[in-house]
Amino acid sequence: MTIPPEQMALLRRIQETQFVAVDLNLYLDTHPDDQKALCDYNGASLQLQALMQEYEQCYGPLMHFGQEASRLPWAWIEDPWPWDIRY
Amino acid sequence: MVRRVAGEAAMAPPECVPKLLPCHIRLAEAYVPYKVYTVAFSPAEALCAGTVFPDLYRPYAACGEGGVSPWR
Repeated sequence: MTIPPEQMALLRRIQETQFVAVDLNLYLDTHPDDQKALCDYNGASLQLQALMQEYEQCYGPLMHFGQEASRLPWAWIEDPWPWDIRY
Repeated sequence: MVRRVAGEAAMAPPECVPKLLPCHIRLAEAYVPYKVYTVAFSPAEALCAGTVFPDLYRPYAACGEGGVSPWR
């Protein structure tokens, strides 16, 4: 299922930021005292939180629970699920 | 196969098991340089490259199809 370009662009930014966060996570596992890396990780983490919040408010849930509250009716069963989106 | 822990190897001279190996052959020693923090890839570049760190970027290349191996 295809989605509008602006929704796709936001989803892409989430994926990019998520990737940066997980790669810095792996680095910090072996370099726990690296202040610069930790600062960058915290920045990526906060940005990811904000991007996901923005996405869910505009387009619906990315995960079934743990992020935004659902509007009525229950939003998780609405199409497309994140993995149904054609990239 | 020779199974021997480092401490044990230091205590006693290694037995030549299997006998195919000369007795003076030493155990392997690995050296891994410590990674220093450098971030230069943008988030978009990092997602495509598979790493945030340019010094860990090792793109696979199809050598037989005109690609250039990163190892050469």
